Amino acid sequence: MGNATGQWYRYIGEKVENIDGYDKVTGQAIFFSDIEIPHMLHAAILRSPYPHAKILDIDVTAATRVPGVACVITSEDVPSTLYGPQRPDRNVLAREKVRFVGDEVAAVAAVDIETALKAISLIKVRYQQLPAVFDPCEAMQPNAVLVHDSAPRNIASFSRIVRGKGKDGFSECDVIVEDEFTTQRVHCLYLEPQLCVVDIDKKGNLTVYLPVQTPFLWRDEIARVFGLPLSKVRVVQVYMGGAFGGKLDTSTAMIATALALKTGKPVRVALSNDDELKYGFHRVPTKIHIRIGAKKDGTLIAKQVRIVADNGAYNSLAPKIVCTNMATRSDCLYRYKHVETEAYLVYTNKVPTSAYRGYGNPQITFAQESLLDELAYQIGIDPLELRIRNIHSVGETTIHGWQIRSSGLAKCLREGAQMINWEAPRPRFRGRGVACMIHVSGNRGKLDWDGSEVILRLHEDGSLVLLSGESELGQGVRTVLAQIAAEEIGLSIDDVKVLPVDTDVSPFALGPYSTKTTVLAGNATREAAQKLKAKILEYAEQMLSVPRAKLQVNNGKIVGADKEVSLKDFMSWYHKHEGRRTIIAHGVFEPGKVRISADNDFYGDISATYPLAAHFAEVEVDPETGQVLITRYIAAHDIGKIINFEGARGQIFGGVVQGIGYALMEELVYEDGTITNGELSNYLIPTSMDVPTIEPIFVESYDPVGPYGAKGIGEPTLIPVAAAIANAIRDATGIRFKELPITPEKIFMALKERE
Amino acid sequence: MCESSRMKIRFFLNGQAVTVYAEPGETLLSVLRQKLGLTGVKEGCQRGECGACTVLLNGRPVNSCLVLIPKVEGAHVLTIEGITPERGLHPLQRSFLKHGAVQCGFCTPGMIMSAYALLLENPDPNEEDIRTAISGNLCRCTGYVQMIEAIKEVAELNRKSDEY
Repeated sequence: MGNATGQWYRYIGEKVENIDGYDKVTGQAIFFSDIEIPHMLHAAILRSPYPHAKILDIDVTAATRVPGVACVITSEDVPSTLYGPQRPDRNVLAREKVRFVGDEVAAVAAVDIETALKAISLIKVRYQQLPAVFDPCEAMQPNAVLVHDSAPRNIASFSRIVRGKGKDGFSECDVIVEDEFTTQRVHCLYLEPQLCVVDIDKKGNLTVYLPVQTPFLWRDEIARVFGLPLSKVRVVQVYMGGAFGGKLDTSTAMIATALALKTGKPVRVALSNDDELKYGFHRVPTKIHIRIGAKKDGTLIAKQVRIVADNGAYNSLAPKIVCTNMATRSDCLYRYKHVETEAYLVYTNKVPTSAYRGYGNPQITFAQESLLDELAYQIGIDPLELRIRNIHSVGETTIHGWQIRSSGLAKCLREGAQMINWEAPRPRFRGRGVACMIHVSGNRGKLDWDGSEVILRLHEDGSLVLLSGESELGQGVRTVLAQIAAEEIGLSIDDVKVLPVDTDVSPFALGPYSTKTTVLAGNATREAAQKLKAKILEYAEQMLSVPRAKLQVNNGKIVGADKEVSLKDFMSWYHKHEGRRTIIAHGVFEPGKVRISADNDFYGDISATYPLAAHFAEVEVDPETGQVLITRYIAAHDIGKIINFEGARGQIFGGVVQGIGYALMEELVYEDGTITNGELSNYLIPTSMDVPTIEPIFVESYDPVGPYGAKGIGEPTLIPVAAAIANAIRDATGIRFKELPITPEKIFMALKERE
Repeated sequence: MCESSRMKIRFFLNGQAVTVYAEPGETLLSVLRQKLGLTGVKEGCQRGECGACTVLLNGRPVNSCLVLIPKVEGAHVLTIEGITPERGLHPLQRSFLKHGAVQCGFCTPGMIMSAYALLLENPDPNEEDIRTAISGNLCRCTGYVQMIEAIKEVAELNRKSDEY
């Protein structure tokens, strides 16, 4: 398949089947929940029944006496070091007090799960209940009870960002609109719940089977918390049943490690789907007060935002999600002149909130894209036109310093509009909405070094082994890397084996999150492959007596000047002449040097690439029931360059359907600190019956930094969905729904009220 | 653990006669995974909501987490391992791969078994039939679209081969 640059690729951009696919369709794939180790103990967790309470004492005597119980642990048996993926504030087991219903208080390891649960039921805990805070606005009040003594007014994190004249910029505006938007708690609900299996040998070496997105970071965290040298902790991965950001944090790892160290035996700690819903982690719920001003010709001038977000009882990843990402990302779509944002992240006695596909961007995009339509209505211009007039072009720098090196957004908007027949008249209760998004792909944010390294090793038979620290979540990273390696070297992809992550063997990577792996690991693979090919040809030149400039590798054969030799035969020659050594090459890619924080006022070109998208929804609202039928959905994505065609389509379908759940269906409901619908039977997510016709449009803008021009697509596919649907419902009914999810009840009541 | 309540259950698994010893309260899911080593059938929600544990029981798709083992006495059970041929793949498996209908793969065996059951009962399903047949199988990764395409293609192939 050719492309605009005239380049022909065998694999890049093609329909290449998932290299893990055979294992998965035959049921051969071993997932973390399938792992069984001889003499493995099963663990159960005792959780707090109260949202906020002092732990007065814990009596485990009866529990330890249950036959088959190997050990019972409380905070006295584990390190007091706090842990957490961003700003550690969580105990391995609750110490002195519990801060949410579900907070882990004790754990039991036993011969089987029934015995462990029996022992749990015999643990006696005396609590002294404390007043609790559930609403972030109330929790911020001066006299509110503190969730953590170290956080006055329960502020877990705060940021204030001003660009240009800030809110004073509204004096330049002809039209100003303002409103408040509310987003809810949801769960990513990957099908395979969190678990951890820790194996331990007689020397205390730990092998940790941990389905996290960041295996190296958790290896480090386990070592740090338990005071172990890194070499004693090895994280090994197998197939993982989904992640979506929710597996960037884990509580099972710490408890499993504690139990394994205590018993000297392998231990399995596993949650159920219901545990996940009830106890963690949830998407950050927000109240976003937003004001946008423009000139009467539709030129956007100023934007002011105040975010109050619910952290839950412990930090997890919410601080950056809210105070960095939510506070800046959506601003970078348009040419605002003045921006002022205040973001408050507030502790409450509820389940910790964390990352879920979009990392804060879905929430703020919902608010901005919804309000922009209101602005368009006020001014009297088409919401589509308002966007087209104000989006950044290639070569521009956004208000927070992002450099737009590639953009297909204008094309996404035009083609999407055409496909959905944007201007065609529509009957009452049928409407169309549009929403845009911008995100990062290959950003800095975490450490002193945020890159990805890939190692390629040519096997004795001429096949290739690829080592990478990027976890396979189901998003298809292994296939993408195999495609790139096969493409660059000239091998068949069937001869490329990508090994699963093993922190003792794989080179370092942060891991897949923030839509970064295609750019970071993809570029690293490309570099490694080019180097490996150069080494092959250097030796082939000797073997064939043909100058290397005249040699090529095609389909596993070295060819040139009428000579041809398979890589297998080449390797035989190589071993005879160079000894039985392996041919290895390394590739590394790291994003640019800019990292943003309060220290540099959150300003900088933080990402290697910026993916963009425009989504269009067409809906039909039934006024009798409030039900929303999505009649058409167009997802137009600037993906830079497609690497795997069905993989990219799959990300669109998966993200849009998750977004439909977010927009219309899902909400975890709290009552007095307890979740009332924390079961799969009560927390409904989209099934095959809820999927509309989704039409993907791919715009290839050929980013100069991404591999072959590619930018990531994982998170972008969900980010604008709620806004596009809300805007379509607004067009259909004339009513602006500002609170997610937009349920039939809410629509019905609003329509009734209007009558 | 009360040893005396263990039962001897005999049934057909993927065409072969098997005998297991289990407590009456044990589920088919647990027996398949723990006692018979078939991990292709997945442990999902354990309450019959997600469909990851779908297998065929006498030709009908069931959530094996809800089937108590005594019920399986004398019955025919078919799992993903049972529809995989010695060489190659079943058309449903092949089609899922071709259409990119597999991401994390956790729902995949259950999904394919539901599709298999559909085609047994209705070799000529329309899109509505397909959506309904897999509506008890949750997937969070794929958005279902490519799965529906994959099943459609197999149905189409069946239709064409019937026309011979």
